[in-house]
Amino acid sequence: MTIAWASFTPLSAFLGGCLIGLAALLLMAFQGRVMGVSGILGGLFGAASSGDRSWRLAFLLGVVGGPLLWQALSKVPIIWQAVASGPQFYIAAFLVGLGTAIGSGCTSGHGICGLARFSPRSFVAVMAFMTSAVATVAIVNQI
Amino acid sequence: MTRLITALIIGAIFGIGLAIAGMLNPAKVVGFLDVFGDWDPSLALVMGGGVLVNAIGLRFVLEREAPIQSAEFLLPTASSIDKPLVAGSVIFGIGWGISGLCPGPVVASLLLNSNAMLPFFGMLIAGLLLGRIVMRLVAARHLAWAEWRFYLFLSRVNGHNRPMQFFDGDSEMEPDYNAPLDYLPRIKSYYIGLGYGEPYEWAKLDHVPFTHLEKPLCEARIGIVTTASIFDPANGEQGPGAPYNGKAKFFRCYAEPITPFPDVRIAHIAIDRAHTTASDMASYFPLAAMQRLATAGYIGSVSPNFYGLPTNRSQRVTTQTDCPELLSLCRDDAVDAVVMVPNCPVCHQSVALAAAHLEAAGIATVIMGCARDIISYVGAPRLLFNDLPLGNGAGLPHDQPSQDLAARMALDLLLDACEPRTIKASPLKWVGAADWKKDYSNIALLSDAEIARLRAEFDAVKKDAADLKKAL
Repeated sequence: MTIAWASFTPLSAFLGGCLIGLAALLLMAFQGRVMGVSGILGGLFGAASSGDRSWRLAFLLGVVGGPLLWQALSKVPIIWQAVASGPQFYIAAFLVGLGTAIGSGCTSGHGICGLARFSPRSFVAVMAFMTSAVATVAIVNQI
Repeated sequence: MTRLITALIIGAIFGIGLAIAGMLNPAKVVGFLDVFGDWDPSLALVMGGGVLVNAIGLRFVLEREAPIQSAEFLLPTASSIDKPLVAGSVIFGIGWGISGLCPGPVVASLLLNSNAMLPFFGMLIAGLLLGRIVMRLVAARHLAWAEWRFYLFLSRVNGHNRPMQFFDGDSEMEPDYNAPLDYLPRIKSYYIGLGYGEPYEWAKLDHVPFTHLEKPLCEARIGIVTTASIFDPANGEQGPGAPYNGKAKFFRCYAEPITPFPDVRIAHIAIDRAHTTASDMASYFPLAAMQRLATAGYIGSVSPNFYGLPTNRSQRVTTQTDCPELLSLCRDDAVDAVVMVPNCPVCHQSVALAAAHLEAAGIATVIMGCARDIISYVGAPRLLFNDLPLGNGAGLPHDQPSQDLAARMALDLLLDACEPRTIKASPLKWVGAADWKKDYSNIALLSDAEIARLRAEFDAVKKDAADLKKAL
């Protein structure tokens, strides 16, 4: 293992992380909801009331708009470098949806919110997806 | 409206946080996950910062009675670390590792990189919907059923005649004072003590038929078989704590509708009157629990009728008359499986004989009973054993959770049992007097005067029953 100091961005990472944590905290404080993106998405389907659906849509709209606003205000383009393409890209998308639905949460729900509540369930989930993601990257890099 | 605006603003803060943190760049995310290559630890700080702010803030937020804009805090209630949690997270990790994208950043870059992200988002939603279907199947034990059929198939392929057992009989390990009461020797010495010479000869099946439930529970129609009788005020005292009442007996199988909610009583049979008053019908008639499970989607439906099986001391009448009648009543309603609840010792025999008859005809059965030794002596396909005084086969009186648990365990046994004579003990414990096992029909505890009184009483009861039978 070598550390890629050139791409290490501790300040912006920590600052961004704090904003993510703040958003999770505010959602709990105002709406009493866990900020788990996969859960918020999943709740759009099925037997949700229209009131339940509308706060989810408003939140997701904010998530879509936030980065656009940030890019426009800061004049700094948001970097995007794809790592997968073709069939792998779509298979990955499907697995992300499938896995978060079955595992009841993703990086935000289990990671930011679950760990902050010291939930053993979320701790296990984070360990599981971190391990499998690290292993996947290691395997993909070997191929 | 203000709720929606705050949700929008909070979403925007989250999106901006993701953008600043670098989470929107898949290459940076993969750089973090590439622990064995050129590792960029930045995202550990994202996670660290997020958890730190949230954890500190939550200490104050959750002190509040309620959230600012809604009625209550909706925190996850699941606490068990189960297979879906781990399997799902591993699957998610694979997708995350391949693409460097998790749901938050996908939504946040929908319009930033719409060409790549809209199709990705579409596939993510497709996976999410499939995952929700999988979870619904898991909740309905659909998958457990598939798993069970698979083991059955494997065992046939391998030439084993006995598939894998899903549970071990840990109840066998119970210390002695917890051991189930053996009714057969107790009853035998009781009647000998009362002065009846020839002990009753209990039925004993050489061969116990066995039928696998041919569909998942969530599609199955479940019938209830009871030895309780329909309440008819004309038949004398049958209320809670009523003494033995032979007049309320019935002698033919019946099918009665479950709506309006029926009233059935067990005053006509030998339940444990010293310890149980039969004041809660749900402790011996599990209709309400089954209806709750049907509403929850755990079973397909409850049969529109429930079925009464007479408690008949004559094994010939039970097997030759009652069993075929019960079968045809069950067939009329196309039930897939029945839950049978006996009450008195002879009820246990009748129900075991009926279970064998139904299984041979392709209807799966499970008995919820309190007399374990009678069921194992006679022989029955499946027994959920509730170690409670007679008259509480379906759970503790006035304790709905215990009745729901017993009902669920009985249904699960329909699926989990691999062979006849499967007995599973429920964890329910009697909450009343601890010595109920000691004093049930215990001749050693009775004085001569009491024995004489009981003998006279029993003779009268027998005569009443014989008269009633003749009159019918």
